Amino acid sequence: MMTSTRSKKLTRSRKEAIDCYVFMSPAIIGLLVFTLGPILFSAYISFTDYDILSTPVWVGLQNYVELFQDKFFWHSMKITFIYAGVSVPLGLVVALLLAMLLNQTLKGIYLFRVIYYLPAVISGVAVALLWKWVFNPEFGLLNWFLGLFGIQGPAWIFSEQWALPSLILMSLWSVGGSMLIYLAGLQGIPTELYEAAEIDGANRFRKFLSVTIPMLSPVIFFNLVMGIIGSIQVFTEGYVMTAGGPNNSTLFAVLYLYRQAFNYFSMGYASAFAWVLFLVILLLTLLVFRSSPMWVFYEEQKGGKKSKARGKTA
Amino acid sequence: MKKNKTMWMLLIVASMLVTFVAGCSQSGGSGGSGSGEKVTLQFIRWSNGPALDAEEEDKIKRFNESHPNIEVQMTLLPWDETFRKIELSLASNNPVDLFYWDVPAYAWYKKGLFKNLQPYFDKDIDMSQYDAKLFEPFKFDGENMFVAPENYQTLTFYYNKTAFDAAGLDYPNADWTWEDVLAAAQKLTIAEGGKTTQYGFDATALGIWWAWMALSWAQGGSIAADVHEPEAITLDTPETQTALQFVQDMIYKHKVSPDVATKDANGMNFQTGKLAMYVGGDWDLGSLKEITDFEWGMAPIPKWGEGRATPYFMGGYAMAEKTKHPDEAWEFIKWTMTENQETLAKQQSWIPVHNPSRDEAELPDWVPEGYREARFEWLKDGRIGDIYHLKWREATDKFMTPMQDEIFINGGDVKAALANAEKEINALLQSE
Repeated sequence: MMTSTRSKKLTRSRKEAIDCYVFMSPAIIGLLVFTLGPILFSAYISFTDYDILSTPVWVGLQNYVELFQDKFFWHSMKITFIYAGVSVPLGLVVALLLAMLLNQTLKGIYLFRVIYYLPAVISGVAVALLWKWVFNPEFGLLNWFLGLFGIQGPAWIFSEQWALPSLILMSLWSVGGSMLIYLAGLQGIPTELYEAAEIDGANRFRKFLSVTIPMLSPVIFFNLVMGIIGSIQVFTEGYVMTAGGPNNSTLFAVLYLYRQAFNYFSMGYASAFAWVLFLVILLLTLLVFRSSPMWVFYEEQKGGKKSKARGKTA
Repeated sequence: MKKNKTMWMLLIVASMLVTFVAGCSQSGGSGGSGSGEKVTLQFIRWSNGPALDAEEEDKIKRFNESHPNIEVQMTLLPWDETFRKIELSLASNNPVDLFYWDVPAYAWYKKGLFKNLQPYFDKDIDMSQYDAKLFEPFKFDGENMFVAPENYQTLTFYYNKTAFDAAGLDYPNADWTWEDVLAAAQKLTIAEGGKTTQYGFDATALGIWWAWMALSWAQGGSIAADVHEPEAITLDTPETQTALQFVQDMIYKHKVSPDVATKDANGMNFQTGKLAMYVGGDWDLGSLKEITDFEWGMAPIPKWGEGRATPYFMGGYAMAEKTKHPDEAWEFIKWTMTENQETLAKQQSWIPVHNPSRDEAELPDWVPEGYREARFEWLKDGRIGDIYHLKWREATDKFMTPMQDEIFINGGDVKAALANAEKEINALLQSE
């Protein structure tokens, strides 16, 4: 606690800083108390042979070497990348379209916003079980819908070809979160920009390309980064709905990692795997960050193609 | 559970540490009040659903009431959770005293975490009242018992009597061969308007290695010469090929069985009356006895030509090597193998290992036709349907299940799938 004499001397910026730390403290304390220890420990055991039941034996880089020779590691990474590579862009596009729809002014728009956002609140195992019904080849919503057009739908999660696409489709369930962020972004775009564009003779599509997209680019950037981080860690769907099958077609990286850790007594190996996965996510995130000057515009910047003014800072 | 720049894994480890700490704090200590002599035993087992769990709770209650100096505290958990929980406990210096056995626990035996129960058996168990031969698989080192069997489980043949009556067919009996099953299945498969509304047989239930193995065994085939740490298994054999081809043909060639997708999608199972016959565990009886829509019966697993083989499995208790109260823990185990066997026989949920209790038990009202023969006859020549190997679970996940997917879901080439899985599994079993 501050003494009263000191608190009088506090400048406004100091006050703000203190407020900031107070608000951040739950996250920071949580990290220090609950996660930092295990993070460091997992870094250590990734260099050991550890099966939980006996003390870890130092093996140096052996886990990492074996990992890169493990065809299931590569297979699971491939599956995960396909999942992320399709579901992230798809999610970005769908969320943006939904946000634009919900950005209209009409009666009951708040109700629609709530409805579209709700699925993002419900998550995990319950959703997986719900979608199992949606994908049901005989009675599922999806095949019923396709049936209206005379299309005989596939067996979805029961089919080796369709299981992964099924889970990608299912990932759209949680676009509500990024949709909401887009919506906030859309509402932050000054109307005079649109008016100016209209005076210049821009049509709707042109306005979307030249005003909406650039003005939203920081939001797109944020959603892209969060999407990459989230989708590479996909686990629940593969664990609950398909158990990695049929024929390993949905063996996501984290699912395989989980099995190594808890079913095959290879905690050290799984930790090495986790660190590799972390580095992959870090690398991708850094790439996106590095690419941001090319396509992300903040309000104080001038638009247009890579302005030379920023060449020096890169 | 998405946290920025932290991994799932670490969350899992974090929560593990939390449970670890929690686990440490709850074992030990003296339970009960007043009597300073009372010993508390921690016991973890997995849940089998409300009906069977109630029987377990009752078992513990009766033991505690009849043994004033011991209190067994049971924790019931989902199967997967059980293993994680016991494992963390065994890794600590103050482990759980007792746990219920299943095959993945073999890894802990390899680490020397199981108490050798043979001295106790020699002292307290009259082996003439049990089928010693059936206990053999639990002699992990070939000589000593490391798990105390309490019950057997087996696979048996179930048929829908009402469907058989409607088709005017004779009921299955102990002389039936798989050819008879196929012939009956063809007559019991009913299509209406291009959609099959009733299938004669559920081949998908045979889609798991410890079930389809029975068809290979019956022809004299085998997967492993010794179930204890086989260095190699055999899948690409004429017997196993024939067996799996037969099961696959039931689905894709004769179309007398649904495939997995059709079965799941339509919620088809024996209980709905849409599948006239299947081979399943006797642990299904609990849900089958609730059926009111039709009559059903049981028969031994059909023969292949002249041969028959029935897989069996065992349930039982293991004691942690580091338990502080081995004698009290044994007291509980012994009680489950002896005094409690009579109650077990009355309940008919599990097959009791104690021969006199089993033979003298009155059969309850719900048991169907063919029950005694189907459920108990195999005791003469049952074969354990397990394989004990540190890498078996990994082999199953990585190769056996995908092989079965290829054969039963994709309708792929049986021989090629078997040959490939055999090669891969043996490489894994022999790897360091």
